[in-house]
Amino acid sequence: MSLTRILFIDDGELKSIIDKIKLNLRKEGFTVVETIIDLSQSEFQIKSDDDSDKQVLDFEKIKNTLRGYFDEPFDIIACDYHYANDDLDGSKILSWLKNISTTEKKRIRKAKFCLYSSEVDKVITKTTTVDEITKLIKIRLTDLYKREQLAEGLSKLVKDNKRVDLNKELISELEKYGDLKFKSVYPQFKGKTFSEIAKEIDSESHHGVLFSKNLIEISVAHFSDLNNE
Amino acid sequence: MSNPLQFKVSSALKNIIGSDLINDDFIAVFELVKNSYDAHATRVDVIFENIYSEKAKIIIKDNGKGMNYDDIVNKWLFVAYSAKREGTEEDSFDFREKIKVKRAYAGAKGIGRFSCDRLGSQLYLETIKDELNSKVEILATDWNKFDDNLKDEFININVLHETITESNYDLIHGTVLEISNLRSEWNRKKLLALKDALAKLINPNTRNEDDNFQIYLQVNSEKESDRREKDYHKIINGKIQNVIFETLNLKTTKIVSKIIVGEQNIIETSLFESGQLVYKIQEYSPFKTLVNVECEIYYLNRSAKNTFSRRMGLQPVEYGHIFVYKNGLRIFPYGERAEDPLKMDNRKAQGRTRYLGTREVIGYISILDPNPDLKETSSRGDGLIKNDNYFELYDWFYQNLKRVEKYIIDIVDWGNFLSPDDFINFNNSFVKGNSEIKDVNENFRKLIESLSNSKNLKSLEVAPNILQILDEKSGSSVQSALSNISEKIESDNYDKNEILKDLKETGKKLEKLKKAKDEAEEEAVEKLIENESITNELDTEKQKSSYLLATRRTLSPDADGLIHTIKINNIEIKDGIDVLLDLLDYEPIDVKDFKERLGYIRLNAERSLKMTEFVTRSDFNQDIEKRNVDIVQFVEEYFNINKENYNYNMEFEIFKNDSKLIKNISVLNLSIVLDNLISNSLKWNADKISLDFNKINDTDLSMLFSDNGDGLVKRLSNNSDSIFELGVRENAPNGFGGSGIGLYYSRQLLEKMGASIKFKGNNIKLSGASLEIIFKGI
Repeated sequence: MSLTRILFIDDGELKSIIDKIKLNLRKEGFTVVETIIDLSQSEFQIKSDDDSDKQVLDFEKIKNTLRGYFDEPFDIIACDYHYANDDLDGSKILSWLKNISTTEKKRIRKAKFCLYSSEVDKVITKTTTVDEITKLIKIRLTDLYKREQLAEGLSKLVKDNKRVDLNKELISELEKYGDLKFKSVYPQFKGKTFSEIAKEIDSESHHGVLFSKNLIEISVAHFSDLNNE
Repeated sequence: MSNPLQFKVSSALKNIIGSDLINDDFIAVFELVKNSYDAHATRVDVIFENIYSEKAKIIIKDNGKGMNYDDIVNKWLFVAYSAKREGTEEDSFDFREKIKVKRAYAGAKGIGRFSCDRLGSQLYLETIKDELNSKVEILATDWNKFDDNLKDEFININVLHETITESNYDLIHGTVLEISNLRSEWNRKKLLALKDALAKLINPNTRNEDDNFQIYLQVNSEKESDRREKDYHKIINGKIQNVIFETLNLKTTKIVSKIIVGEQNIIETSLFESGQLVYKIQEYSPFKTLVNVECEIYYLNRSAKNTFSRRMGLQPVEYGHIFVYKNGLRIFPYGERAEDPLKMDNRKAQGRTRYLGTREVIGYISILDPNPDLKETSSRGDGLIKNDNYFELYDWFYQNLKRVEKYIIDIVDWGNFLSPDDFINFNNSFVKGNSEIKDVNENFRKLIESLSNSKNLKSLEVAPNILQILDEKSGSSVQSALSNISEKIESDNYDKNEILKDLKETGKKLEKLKKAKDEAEEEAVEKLIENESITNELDTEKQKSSYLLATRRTLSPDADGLIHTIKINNIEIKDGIDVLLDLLDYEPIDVKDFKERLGYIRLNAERSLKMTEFVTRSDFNQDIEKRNVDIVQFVEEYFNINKENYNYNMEFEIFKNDSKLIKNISVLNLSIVLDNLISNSLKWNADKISLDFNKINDTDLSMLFSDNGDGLVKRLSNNSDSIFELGVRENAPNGFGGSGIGLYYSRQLLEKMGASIKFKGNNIKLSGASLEIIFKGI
């Protein structure tokens, strides 16, 4: 069974939606593991600056929580766009996440970023400026779903994403045997554990990239040998 | 060894050939009127009785040949059998009637009688055959019986028959259909529309004078309103008349075409202008199967439309366009205002100035038997069956339409140029647009030439006086007359009296022109006013449509918040149910899991219901799920407003102790928690509830919820936290046990808002149970 990890960022109820996604994908041979950042919790609230008793979302607190997931291999990040009458919206959260994780080369950057809303037309009316649209493009948003179609949309996204990501698979395999030490073939990595090498590849370091290429060459060479036998 | 089997037919057949097939009330009435026509009736009364009461009835009564017992059994009750089609319909008919005009049958499928089901679920049929020693036969049909059990066979559903001594309707011969338990409502507007439609039902042009068929509409409930109207078209009761084509024999261009059957079939086509023949052409028919058809097409220029409107009381476009009749009775939907089965408007869209559309023509196509392959679809509202015969009819129709177009465009310039007489532009030329100049005489000659070059031509006749009229017209136009007068005066050779006479005549023509111009202007002003009001209506409608079509309308913050929450609730319900349904098919169900899921769905439904209460009482300028509220004040208000809903005898006391905590919570969820706690108290015989608020440290708030009921049972008080588990419950003294999910979800909802709940004990504040909720501040 293939494992899929989805991070949800929402302030509302998601139980049925998540159950539906899980059931849909279970039938297709996928196991879904969800992580929810529930923005309705008080830990994400702060008193508003304008001295009223209003409480608003604390973006800094949200960022800090997200930082804790930077190295997680999420396949999809699904973020609700609309949070009551808060000024903060899902596109701002994803924008920040995409920017910072790309800059810092964190694993979470490789996930597919999706937005959803129960009021998609509100999203559209808000994103009419060039800046807003540019922001969405830079996020490399995979999709914008209506909330009522979120379960189906994400299920389909997972199913359609069967394409093998070699890098991802390599990292995953290396991490399975993370404590093993690498001995030969690529001298620069001699003595490094597999999990250290996985980090190099994940961070797309110079040697991480070269090592990946090297490994592919060696694999093909090996297949050729097998063919000749 | 093979053995024969038979088809069985479900009682559902009744709907398939009845209300599902005849899906329009008007068509249902027509079918029944058609049956009367085919039964040689000279009069049919369509009566709407007690139309605004529960005992409303539609009665269709005719004086046709009626039925005896045999006819009922072998024809009326024999579905899909049509004696009309078989040709045996007249066999039992008295010789006296055979010498009457033989009508061709309008209906011949044997299912028209099921139209009754469309109109109402109960049918009482009374019929007397026109024969010696005839009896009154009655049949009572309850169409609903066919719907009871679809496994019942059609043939096993009974209809009741009786022979009675005297007619309830004073019938001498004929049939009465009394339909009750009507399926639709009828009102004045609909009845007027029915009257209009019934008028169009019969093509008066195809009936000969001996064949007299009259339709009367009777609605006693509308007689009073009728008295206030003078216009025929606004009066419901009375004889139905089709005056349309009489009205149209006026100043219009008209083409008449028919196919004469002979050794070689001939198409004879005549074009008329204001009642005068312009040309008549006979051609050998290129159509293999087209026979016994006739058509008339009238082109309505502006003036003709005005005249029509004045006489008919409605615009031509409201009346219809090209009607199709078979054996004198109308086939739908040809001619219907919003329908264009002949695709004229599509074609016009390709050439607005070259082609005529449904708004510019009126007329009919008449099909007479024998024409077995030009037949109506079973549904009765979809026109003729599209086979080769139909397409020949279609081509022939367009041949005629094109001839009208050619004449209209090249000869009379759409009738736009108002001449003193019959709207033919008899000046030598007219300017088309800014550049093209058309010479009428020349064009007319070209037209005749092209007709005479027709490859199937047999003969061509041009009205000799047309050319004379052309000459006369050019001589008698106002401009020509004036220029003649000028010439005469200038020539110094004139007769004063003659000049005066010429001037008077020119004056008269100018008068006529002026009158025509004034009429046209008046019409134009009226149209403008009407258009303005239509434009206003259109704007209003557009706004309505815009509202319906707009992706986002600016709503008040209240409405926004409402929609947002309702959507979320209901998506959870929908998806929750989908998952449950899926699970039922997919894997064995764990009962506890199932309960939990159902409980969750219920909770969301409860939230939606709660929303409806909030709508009327709460300020929604913030989302109801994320509101900053002073918890103490909110709870106090909530109880004060809702206490009447709970129990007339329930007493509430609230001790605030100067406490206050402003917290961002879902007031919806908090309301549900409070309702749940109160509900539990009621079940356990409490009639008093006490709420005590106290601050705990600087940030947190405690609310002690106590009642004077029976308290928590011993069994559970030893492990009191179990009452918050799913499915844990006890039978309450009032006999109604809970579902075991209330406290479970209450705890969950409170946890979401940063609060906790626990059982404090019995007898703490009041004699019953006490629960403590602690709200954590920031």
